[in-house]
Amino acid sequence: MEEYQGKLRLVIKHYPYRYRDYSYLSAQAAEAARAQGKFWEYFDLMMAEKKLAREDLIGYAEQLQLDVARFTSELDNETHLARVEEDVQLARSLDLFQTPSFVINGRLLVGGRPIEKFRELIDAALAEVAGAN
Amino acid sequence: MARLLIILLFCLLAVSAGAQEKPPLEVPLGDAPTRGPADAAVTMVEFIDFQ
Amino acid sequence: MRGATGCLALLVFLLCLLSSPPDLLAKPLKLQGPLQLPSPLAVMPLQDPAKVELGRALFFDRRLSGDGTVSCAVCHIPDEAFADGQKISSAYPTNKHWRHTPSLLNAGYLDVFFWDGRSRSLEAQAQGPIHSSFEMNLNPRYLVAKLREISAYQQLFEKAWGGGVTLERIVASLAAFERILLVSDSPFDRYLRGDQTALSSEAKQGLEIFFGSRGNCVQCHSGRLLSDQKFYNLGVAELPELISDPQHRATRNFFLAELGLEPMDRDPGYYAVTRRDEDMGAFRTPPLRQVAETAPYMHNGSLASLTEVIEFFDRGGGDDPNKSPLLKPLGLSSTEKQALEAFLQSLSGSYPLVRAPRPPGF
Repeated sequence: MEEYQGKLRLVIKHYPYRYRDYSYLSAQAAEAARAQGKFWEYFDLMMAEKKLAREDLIGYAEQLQLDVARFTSELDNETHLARVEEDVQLARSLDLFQTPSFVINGRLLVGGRPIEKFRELIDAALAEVAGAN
Repeated sequence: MARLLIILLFCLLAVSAGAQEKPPLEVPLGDAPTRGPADAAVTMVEFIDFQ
Repeated sequence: MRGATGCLALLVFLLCLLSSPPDLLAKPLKLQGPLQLPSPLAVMPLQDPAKVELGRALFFDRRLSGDGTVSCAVCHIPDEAFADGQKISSAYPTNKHWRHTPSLLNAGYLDVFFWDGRSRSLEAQAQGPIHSSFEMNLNPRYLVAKLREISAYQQLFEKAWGGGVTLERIVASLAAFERILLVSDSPFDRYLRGDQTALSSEAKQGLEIFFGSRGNCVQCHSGRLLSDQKFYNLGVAELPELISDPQHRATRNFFLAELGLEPMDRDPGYYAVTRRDEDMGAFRTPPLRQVAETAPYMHNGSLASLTEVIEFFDRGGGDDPNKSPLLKPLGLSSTEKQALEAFLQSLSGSYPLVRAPRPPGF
């Protein structure tokens, strides 16, 4: 990300796997944090800590000084489930079934690839954009 | 004769396969969370499962 | 426009093949000097189009997996030379694999399959990943029962086989599809068929290193496929995560237990098949067509590029008590290494563009 400062934008779409315990829960937690304006802070914390049970997710909300009561009630009431489902439907409509999947200016990359592969696609996309201008 | 048939089979598949380059995959961004400038030259959409 | 270009390309391809006299395709090329080059690739026997079409449908069908998300094409990606560009293969969701995905290109010519050679036919090979708990994770008998309930598949089987869905027909159709995934028009192939101009002078220098005494790569990468299909321990280091990560460990130890072996902190390779100590850590010599497009390399994807692979062999391979005595430090100059890489690049040609058909019954 830093390497391409100013030239690269990262967009997150949720794609929780339906048979995992915490996939849907953590996606909804990220959305609940977003509702309080702290999606990326929450995202980074979750990525760093890796534990995703309900109490862990609420703990992160505390750490980020979110309104924990609101966060917890939204999580428990599945307030953001529909929003997560939208992303899942989108992914399926694009015939994506693996996570992580990346789409870099329209080019698909599936799975945890070596960083060189990302550089290759990003550089190609940059060159294409530069060529078009 | 056999070779000709193989070639024809190849043609069949290649033609059904279409052009050299796959069309770019269009992902509607909607209200998805983003990081980085909105006018960045490159957009990377990540479909993520946190677990 | 797209169609027209495609047709033109095909016409050219057709003319090229027809204009090459048949005896040229069969006879090894006589070269000046002592180099012994392999014969050109044999012409693959004609595959029944109905079986190929059925095989293609099966290849892309995610219903061949337990949870309906994994098709053969998930790891053998058509746009990536039917490999997947990852060190370690994708796995059944929530699991981790323990080996690198080999390309399917020219697999139709092979007699020995998988890194450890545990399968001896394309048909037998095709069944493995469907059943494997950490790959597609579907009981093949359940697959048969499922496909029998899909009328579009019944019709495809009827057309291809004159009968209903059986496991033998499923894997034979997949094998028929794999047999059309061929590369035989690389610059090296054209060179073998007598086109002296097909290789750059650098690639020719690389060819001399490969087949000659400087590199002697041909001692294992021999024959038409540039593989002797035998097994060698090169001393490739284990990936740290395969040793430390519980899921990778579980997959390896499950695989071993299924074969009646005790857990171990390494990939035993061919030993798992033969139980001979000398086969510990030995893996099948991979064929080399399209090798430049199938990074990373080795059974665990631990070498990222052809440059790294050449450096590895130049050092005489890795470190293992059981390492093959065929590997010795080569002391190649940087010019020679570049030439060798240019030769390896010349092994890439074109391969069929294959797209997913509409899944039968959808």
